[in-house]
Amino acid sequence: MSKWRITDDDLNSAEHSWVSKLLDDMGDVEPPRELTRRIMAQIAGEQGWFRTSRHTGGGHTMVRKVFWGVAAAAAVLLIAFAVTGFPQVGKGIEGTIGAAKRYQAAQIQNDDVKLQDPELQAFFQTDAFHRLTTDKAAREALTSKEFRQAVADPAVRAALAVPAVQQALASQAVQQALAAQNVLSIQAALASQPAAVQAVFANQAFQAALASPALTQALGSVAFMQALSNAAFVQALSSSQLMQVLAAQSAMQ
Amino acid sequence: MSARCDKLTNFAASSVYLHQEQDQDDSALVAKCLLGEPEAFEPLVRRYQRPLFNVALRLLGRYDEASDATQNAFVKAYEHLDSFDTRQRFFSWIYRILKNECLNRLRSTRPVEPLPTYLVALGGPGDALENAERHQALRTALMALSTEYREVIALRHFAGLSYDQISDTLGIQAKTVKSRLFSARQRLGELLSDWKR
Repeated sequence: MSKWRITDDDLNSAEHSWVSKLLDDMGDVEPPRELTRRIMAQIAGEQGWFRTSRHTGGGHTMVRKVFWGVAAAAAVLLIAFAVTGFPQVGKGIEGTIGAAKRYQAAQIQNDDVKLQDPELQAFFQTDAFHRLTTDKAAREALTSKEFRQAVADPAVRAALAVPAVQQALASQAVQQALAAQNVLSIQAALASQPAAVQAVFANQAFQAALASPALTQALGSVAFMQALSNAAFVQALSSSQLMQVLAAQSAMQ
Repeated sequence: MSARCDKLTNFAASSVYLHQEQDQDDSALVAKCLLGEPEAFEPLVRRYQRPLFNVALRLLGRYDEASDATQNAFVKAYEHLDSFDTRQRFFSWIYRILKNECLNRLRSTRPVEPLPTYLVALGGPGDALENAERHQALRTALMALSTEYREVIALRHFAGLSYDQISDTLGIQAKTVKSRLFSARQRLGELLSDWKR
């Protein structure tokens, strides 16, 4: 039997209005007064599932672990973009260099980090945030102790507040950066040479060199990502001589 | 008619669902929870416990069961906050958790009581009929509906959602919502025909 399309008139007809009135007259019912308290009490740990590692001081919870996963994944993406170059937003490459400079983790002081709710909320609305929170592989790959130590939390939060970074995180390039191969390479590099890697990324000459499309393309290659896990390569990359060459090349362009 | 409009207006004013700003606020609260602030969940509980409890009550037909189902739904939602898609509405997401909770309870508890014969046997709503008696008849008739029909009735009349909002919550087309609502009311009308003025 085919169904006919029900219109608002049908639903508001006299045949239905008296039933609607009966339902509306009955009204909604007040939930138990203590319902909120019961729910929050259970969440606070009365059932025992909330605490996961009391021996570490009680501050580590299930959600804390999730946060670390998210923060770590976000940090890796930021670093990946520092290497591969931030996608151009708006006018041109100048903007991307500016965004890269603003990101510099090593130069952000704690007092400078004033992450405003609107900025955070904007990030939470992005596809990138959803992906980060739901990508099990990314979370597992990025929650190592070494990695957490290597990534400064205030810097991550500050970087997430940069609109260009938020846009970059939501871009298609994120999909590539999230590839397990890249993530693991960066994680390994941070674990073995955290200071050296961060020094490379923080170096202004390095960031300026990112303006070169050819260099950006080279740095974004899988081979470069894999090479990052090689300590000797990272040491060479962070050498002052190489930085001088990069700076000179950047100045010539 | 005006009473109904007032009721819907009050629903809107009480703001249980449903504006873009609220959706963003919900997402921000979820994010705070994920960042290690479990107390940020409390505003979500306060905001949605009433509509969710009422839907549960109409689906389950028992006050204590509805209370437990609502509590479990919130706790499960909290446990799985990391799977919440911030592009969704929080209400739609937690509603699905609540619905599953209710369906599980309906499966594991005794079957819904059939419509008592007095509903049919009584001669109709006399002047002396108390509201409570009429409401009891309505509650019983509601429980005689299929879960699918009860659900749209509850979301429309007891949670105050619009057709589009019900559509969004149930993941079905608005025309399907209207069709179900139409059929549900028609069935209720048949069950309660003796009460028609």
